Amino acid sequence: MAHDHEHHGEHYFLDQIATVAVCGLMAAIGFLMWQRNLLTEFNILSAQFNVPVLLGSVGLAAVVGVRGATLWREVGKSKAHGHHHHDHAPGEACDHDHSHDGHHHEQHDHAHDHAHVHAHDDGHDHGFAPWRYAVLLLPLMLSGLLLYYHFNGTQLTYSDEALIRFAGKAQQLEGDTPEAKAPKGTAIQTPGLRELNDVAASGNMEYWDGQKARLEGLLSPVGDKEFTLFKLKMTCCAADSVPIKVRIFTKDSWSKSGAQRGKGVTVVGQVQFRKVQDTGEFVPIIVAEEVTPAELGNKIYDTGN
Amino acid sequence: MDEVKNFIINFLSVFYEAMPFVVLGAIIAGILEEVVPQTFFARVVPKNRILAIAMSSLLGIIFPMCECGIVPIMRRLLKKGLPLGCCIAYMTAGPIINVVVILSTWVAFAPHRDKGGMQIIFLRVGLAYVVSFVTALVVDTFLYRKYGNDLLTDSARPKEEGKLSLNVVEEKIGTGKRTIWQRLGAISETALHDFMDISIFLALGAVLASLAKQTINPSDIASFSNQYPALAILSMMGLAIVMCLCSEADAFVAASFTDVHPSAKLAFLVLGPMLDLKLFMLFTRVFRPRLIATLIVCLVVQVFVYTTAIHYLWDHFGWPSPLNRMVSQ
Repeated sequence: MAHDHEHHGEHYFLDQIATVAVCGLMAAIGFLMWQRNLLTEFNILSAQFNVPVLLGSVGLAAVVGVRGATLWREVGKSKAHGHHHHDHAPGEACDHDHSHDGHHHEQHDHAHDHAHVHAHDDGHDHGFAPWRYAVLLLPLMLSGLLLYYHFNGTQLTYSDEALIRFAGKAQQLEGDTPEAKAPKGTAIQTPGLRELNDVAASGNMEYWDGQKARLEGLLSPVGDKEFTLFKLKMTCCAADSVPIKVRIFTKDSWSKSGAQRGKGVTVVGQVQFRKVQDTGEFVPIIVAEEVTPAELGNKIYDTGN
Repeated sequence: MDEVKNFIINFLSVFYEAMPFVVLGAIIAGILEEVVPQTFFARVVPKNRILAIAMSSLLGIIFPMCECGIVPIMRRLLKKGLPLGCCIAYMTAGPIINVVVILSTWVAFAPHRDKGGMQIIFLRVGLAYVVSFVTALVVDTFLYRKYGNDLLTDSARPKEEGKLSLNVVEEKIGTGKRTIWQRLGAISETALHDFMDISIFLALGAVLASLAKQTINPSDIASFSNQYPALAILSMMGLAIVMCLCSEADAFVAASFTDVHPSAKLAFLVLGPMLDLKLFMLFTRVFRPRLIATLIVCLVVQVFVYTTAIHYLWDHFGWPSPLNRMVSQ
């Protein structure tokens, strides 16, 4: 059923110590990631994944602790054992008495619980293969880099072009270039991108249609006087991020405002809704009065607030 | 430098999302190795091969596991003599047919009822079942009978020689009573070994996924072939393989492709948890190339054929989709 390694090759302990060390390091780094909230701070995982990372790190640390202790005992026994190594096939009888220097077990007690469970086919070899540890240095090094960024105050976000790739192609909208309608009051509202998209999807657009609003997000160009304002929405990790978009129409070229592709902007203008040409879905648009560059830093994710 | 930053974010997001589940899978694998007797599965698995595989496809409902955590567990189950067909069925269906993933698919698609969201939820589960069942049956019938345990790597081979299918083997273990230290030592050794082994290939898979993600634009792939259902489906399948998403999150990504036909979204949702770059690397720790190739062909062909058929049935039944709205206009 299980296996013992009472007889080991010279690489066995080296392999086991290296395994314990690398796994212990991974548990420690994972714990630091949780403790410093790094994976959320750098928008690598969503906040809901902090607890699994903590549990994973603690679980790994516990296994490492147990393994470290049992390995310590094994090393101790191996030293005390100090007799010849020999091989015998799985299931093969081990018909020797394990005497040490002429002594038999009965003659002295050295806590030698030598259960004869020589199931050598335990599903893994114990040869020392440094390349295995070298591969795991990659996540360890990159995690270390994250710690460095954190303590150094350096930001880590996707590049501008990668962010624009997230925004994807702009959909064709029905109708001519939109113009501002009669405003609904003068107060400037601050809806989230997600809220406007939810309203458009549900069809309950009456309240928001014609309202003046201020929105911020990243700029993905569509034309000289048109761009997509977007943020990303993450479910579990950065790799599953999807864009939440609002189309912006400006009177003059947006580039005159100093706004740049892939960078943050704040837009003030009137909320309207337009149909997408092929699908007939409504999407929110803003007829902009004002576009100003904005520094979003790591706040490129829409949290729904 | 920008590309390096993108790589760091993509790599760490794939790696750390999977890490807690790999730890969990490794600990369960360690306990399985120590606690479950070699004859256990031979006693409990139904003797009828087809029934055994059919039931294994539904195991995820009782033992929910994501696709990363399932690999170390499956390797130990194989070593314990669970028939290969049952393992394949559980491995492929488990990450989709479990409560957590069904709920996340529901949350992602229920708001899109007017675009076929409800049909997608049910079809995802149904297709996953059919694909996993047929794949497992093909492996068991055509491959295992011919090649037996040679389809498995040494680390996944059952301890006792003989058929993985339902032969009861006598356990030949030591008779000495094992102390708690010995048991803990064995569990922790197996768990750490499996964690290391899987993490290495998880890291390599994350490297591949990150590099692929930097060169591929999902929205381009999703939209370039909407007029051609077969190309749309193949594109979304390719995207699922490259993006390496967790099955708990992929429904939200699929739902974001608003102008893609539901059949192509289904292809993305069904294939992704069964096969992607990261899983491919993990498979190499359990299966020999012949079995991996068979799995890839079975999964890809089936998902393509079924979702293409669904594409035409969808339109035939007049179920709602963004594209038939386009046609009606």
